[in-house]
Amino acid sequence: MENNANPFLNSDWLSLQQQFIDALSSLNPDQAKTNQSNGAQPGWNEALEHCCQAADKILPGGGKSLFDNILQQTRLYYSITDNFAGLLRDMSVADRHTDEWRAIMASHFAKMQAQFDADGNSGKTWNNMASLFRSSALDGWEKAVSGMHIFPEDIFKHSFLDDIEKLQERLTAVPGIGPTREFQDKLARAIRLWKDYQKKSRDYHSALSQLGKLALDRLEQKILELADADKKISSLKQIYNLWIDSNEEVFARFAFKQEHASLYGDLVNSLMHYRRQSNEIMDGILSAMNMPTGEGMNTVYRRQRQMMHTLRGSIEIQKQMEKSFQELQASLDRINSSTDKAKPGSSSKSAASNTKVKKKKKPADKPT
Amino acid sequence: MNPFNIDPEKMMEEILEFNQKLAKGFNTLANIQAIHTGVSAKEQVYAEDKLVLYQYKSRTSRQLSVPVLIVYALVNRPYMADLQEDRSLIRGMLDAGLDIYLIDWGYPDSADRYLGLDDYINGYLDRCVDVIRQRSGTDRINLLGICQGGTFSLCYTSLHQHKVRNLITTVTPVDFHTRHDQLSHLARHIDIDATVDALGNIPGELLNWAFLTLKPFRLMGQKYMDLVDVLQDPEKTENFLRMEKWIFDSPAQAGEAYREFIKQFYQENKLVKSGVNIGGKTVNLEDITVPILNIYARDDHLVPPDSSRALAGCVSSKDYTELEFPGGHIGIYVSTRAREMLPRTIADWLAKRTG
Repeated sequence: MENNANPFLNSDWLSLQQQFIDALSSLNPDQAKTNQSNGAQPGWNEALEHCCQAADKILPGGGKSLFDNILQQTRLYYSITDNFAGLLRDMSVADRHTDEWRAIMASHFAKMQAQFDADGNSGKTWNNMASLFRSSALDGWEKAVSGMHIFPEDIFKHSFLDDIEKLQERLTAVPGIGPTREFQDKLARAIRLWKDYQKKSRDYHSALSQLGKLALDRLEQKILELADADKKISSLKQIYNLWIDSNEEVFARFAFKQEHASLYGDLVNSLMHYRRQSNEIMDGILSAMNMPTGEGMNTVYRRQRQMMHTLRGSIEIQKQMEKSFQELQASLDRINSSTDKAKPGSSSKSAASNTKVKKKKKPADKPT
Repeated sequence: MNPFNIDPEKMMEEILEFNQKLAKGFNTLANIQAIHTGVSAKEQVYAEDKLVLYQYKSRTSRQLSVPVLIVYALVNRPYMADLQEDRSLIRGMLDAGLDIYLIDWGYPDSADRYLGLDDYINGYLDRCVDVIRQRSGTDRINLLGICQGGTFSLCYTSLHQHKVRNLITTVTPVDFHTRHDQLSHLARHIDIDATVDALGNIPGELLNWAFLTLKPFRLMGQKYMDLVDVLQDPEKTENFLRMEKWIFDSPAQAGEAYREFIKQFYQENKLVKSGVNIGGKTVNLEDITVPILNIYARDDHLVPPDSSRALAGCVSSKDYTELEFPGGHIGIYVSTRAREMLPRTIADWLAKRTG
């Protein structure tokens, strides 16, 4: 950083980070000694890493995951502060009575916009505005699908991904016979579906990156609106909140568009198609080892449900039969009773005969 | 005029203050004990497979003669309605003299993947209703459906109206194709057959992601930053954790039921077209004539008010009441305003119709 009369906005941002490192590292003394800055990432990021490790050891389950989320947002908050530090520094020395600040702001926002175009070309862009937007919007997806890959995710990732075309060629080049051929076909299809998922994922990422640029425009606009209304931004948190509001506004507009729904659908569907094919491959492997397959278990579950339905149906029929029987019994009793009443002077006889019948029915009266 | 009023000293103070709050928050979290939810006393009165039917212990000397069965959604857990002592719709209704039953659907596992809507509505729900009718000695009971549970209650009432005295729906989707229904926009592009075939049961994490992406920056980010301001307060932190626990306590969805629900309701919008088929029977909302209280949330981003309000034009009930709650989808159960407003309103409405 260049030297400036302002004690904070040049080297002091680093010293501030150092203070923060010290404060947070004290939570995890084991790591404090090894606290060094790591490449392009500022020291506070490392401090947050240490803090995460401390949380792993000390905090209970629910508290730990909550603290992880807080630290993730803290990273975001500091990254935004990092990104705005230059702007604030230049603003602080700009002539307060002219519109010079507008030009300064436009220039800084243009630099931040450029990060979206350069994003991915440099290993040092992990905390630029493009990365911040993308990680905020997509982290949830990555977490949600992390358990859905039947094969270890890195089978098709990293350096392997570069050679995936070659792998596919190799698979189809080797002649297979019988079951081997079938397996090759399945694997080739899985690779094709994986590539399709990667493409759909890139499309979704790319659309979101465009949104990130729009959100940055909206943020600039919001700041200008505040200036026009003679309102002040007096905290870093306020900048963070404005950034969140801008992102939500832009995202909400996009979310209702057909384009988003299609991209979203393609993302989810391509993963599901890949997963379905992976299941088939896995079933093939399990079957070869004479182990229960997913499809086999599904058959069991399906039959179990059918049996349950049949059983419940039978219980229903039984209940209805019992009810019918009771109704018939009641009808019969009524008929008997009315027949007895119809006979002249039968009431006492009938009662006596009923008593006799009842007596006959009583098992206790039978000799044993 | 330059809108930034952040001088270096102020910036430094803010960062240090934030760090201090974070450090204090760390201590608070380290000392927090296990988080408890579902605070009102209840007893299990029926169980079948993974389902449990509970009856809540009464808190008043006199109770309304007709019991209320709360039908919760399959998504998330029913303790949302009884989250903590001062944020409990159920406690409020108990205090208002209602006899409350609740269905806990449980956590489906792979053996449940072929459970369909017929099993849930004509099976589990119907048997729970029968148990309550038998226990209470009444032919018809009151139903209170929550969100998807409200949709289930509507289907049930249409098919088994002779067992329902009054129906209360809360934040219930009815028309699934309204303009502001973001979930529906997304669901319509999902290949649901491929999804269910690939996954069997639908993992709760996937559904959570779908809900959180409706407002990703606020729901997955900003709320945690805002929390730092209250993190030194153990009670507020516990309340936050309790809500977090509920949000991420998402059971998987039984595959076939999910397939049927997404297809018939979200994709084909058959509920308002009287075309939903459950176990070979057609759900026709026009058949419903029982009194209905339809409560929707003005700021609901999951079930837009229009979606719930569509019910008015679908049923034949002459006694139909609509109530707007000034809040969101969750606030309707846990906010202070909800506690003041809903239990009393529901109890009074039921009392007038139950005698």
